[in-house]
Amino acid sequence: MGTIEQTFSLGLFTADAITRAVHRFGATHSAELFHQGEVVRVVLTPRTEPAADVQADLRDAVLDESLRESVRGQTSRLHETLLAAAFKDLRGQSA
Amino acid sequence: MKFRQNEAFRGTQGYHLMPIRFRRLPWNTSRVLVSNLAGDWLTCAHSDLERAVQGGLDSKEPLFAGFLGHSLIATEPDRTSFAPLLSQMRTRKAYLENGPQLHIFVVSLRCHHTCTYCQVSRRPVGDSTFDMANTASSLSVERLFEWPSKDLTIEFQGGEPLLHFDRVRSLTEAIVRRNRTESRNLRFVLASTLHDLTDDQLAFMREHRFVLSTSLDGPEWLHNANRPRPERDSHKRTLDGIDRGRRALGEDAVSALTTLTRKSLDHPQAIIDEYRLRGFHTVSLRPLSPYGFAVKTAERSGYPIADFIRFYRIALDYILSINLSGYVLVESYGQLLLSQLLTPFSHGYVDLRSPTGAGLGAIVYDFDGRVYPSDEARMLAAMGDTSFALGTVDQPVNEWLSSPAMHRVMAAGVAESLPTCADCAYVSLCGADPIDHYARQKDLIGHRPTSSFCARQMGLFDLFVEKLETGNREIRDMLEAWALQRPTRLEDVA
Repeated sequence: MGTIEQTFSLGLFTADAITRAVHRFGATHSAELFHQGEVVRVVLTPRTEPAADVQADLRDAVLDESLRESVRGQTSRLHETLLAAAFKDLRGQSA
Repeated sequence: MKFRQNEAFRGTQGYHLMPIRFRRLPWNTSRVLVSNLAGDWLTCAHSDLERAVQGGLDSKEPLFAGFLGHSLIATEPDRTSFAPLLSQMRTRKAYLENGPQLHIFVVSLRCHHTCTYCQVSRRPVGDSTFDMANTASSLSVERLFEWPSKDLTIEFQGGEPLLHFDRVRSLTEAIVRRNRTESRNLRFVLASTLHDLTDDQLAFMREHRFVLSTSLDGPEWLHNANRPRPERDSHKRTLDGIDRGRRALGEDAVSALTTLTRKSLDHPQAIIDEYRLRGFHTVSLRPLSPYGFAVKTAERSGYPIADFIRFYRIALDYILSINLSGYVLVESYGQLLLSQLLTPFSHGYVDLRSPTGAGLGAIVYDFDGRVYPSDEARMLAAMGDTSFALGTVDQPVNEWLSSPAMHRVMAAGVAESLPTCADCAYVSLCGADPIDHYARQKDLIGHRPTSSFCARQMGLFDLFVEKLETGNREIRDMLEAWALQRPTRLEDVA
């Protein structure tokens, strides 16, 4: 009751993005993922009462994880460089 | 001298994306909060974020300036200074520079209360075998001054520390004596029920400028229900202690905080009214923790964190209305979160830091000479799990820092590297609490979707962002004023 199914094309989204998105529903749903050729089928089953708009939320979550992937792809080196630059001089006094 | 044409002074039309994180706003999922590495943020339409990530922002549109000003994008890297962003990042993490400032001394486990949510293994009033002995006490003072911090907050806890006030006195005197050569800035705090305070105790605490932290759970019927004493007069004794503490040490020297049981959640206005009635200008609304007797009474007193968030929303609206009526009243945890949202500054609250404040922001010296990285680690030990004990007071502090317990804590102690936290728009403002996750989920890293710690922080951050986004000018001004005040919550603040 309340189980939803949604397929995502691997031509548009990576398996990693789909998995990360599904992980976010772990509190309220148990999840099954089926890799079927060029699509991944996601089945979410509510743990308690069914919630409204889960399908829309799942689609948004996959889209967002894809966006995060794009951000990481463009900025991961700069991210590491900035962290190193910000904290390279952090030297606590020794205990 | 001849100036070049306008075009020579315009930068290139393109931009580079900076490392950013984002979150859909729960009250309007077509909008997002986008944050940079230092925690600076703005909100915009999700579609605008998509355009920004895909390189579609036009340098002439206002959003471009907004993204640029918040270091979410950068123009020509060879002409861009990252110095402001780097400075903000260092400022946010300034608490790392000096080692633990908060040092908690558990002078006794004896207590005259039988609170349903007690996080401590309380012992009967007459059982002095659970008092801190001379050896542990003197060695603790030695260890205290091995830490490098210029500012030291020494907090006495129990049980009920007033039941072993001789130890509070001897520790304070030993620390003050030693400090003649150390020249640290000392602050003494007593966390106590304030029951049965004597004039002699107050005189001593006045001499050393103590501040007092006590529990006031709400009106008499609620406080006494949560905090039973055989005489059933806990509320009256607490008020008496507050009054005497204020007269002896000053109005601002006494603070109180609530612990919210399930019963408490039905009465937000009554709790706030009690604080106003008793003349407090700060209230701290604190949910239950999963330690000690709170575990045993969870079915009766516990609740899901979503219920706490619902309670907090009602309480916050009521507090804001009280402020609008002319009475200043600040919720201290909200003030902390607002200071994180609206300023780049570091803070003293050890439970909301990354890297974790456990062992790096606070140290607990237990009555038996064992040492823990946090009060929660001590509570786990009292429940039978001593795996987070750093060592004992007869060891130098560098052995504590290199202990297996400390390694375990640090392996899960950086929020920016934890699953799901790493992508969270609030991570720069939030913290890692591996011991809390271990206590609740039996895993130091924890499962974010079911994490009460995460649900609490995100729920409250979302609430305040919603208030800032949708509130009227008066509300926004008030919340900004909260953010700029120095946090007045005493517990866990170095």
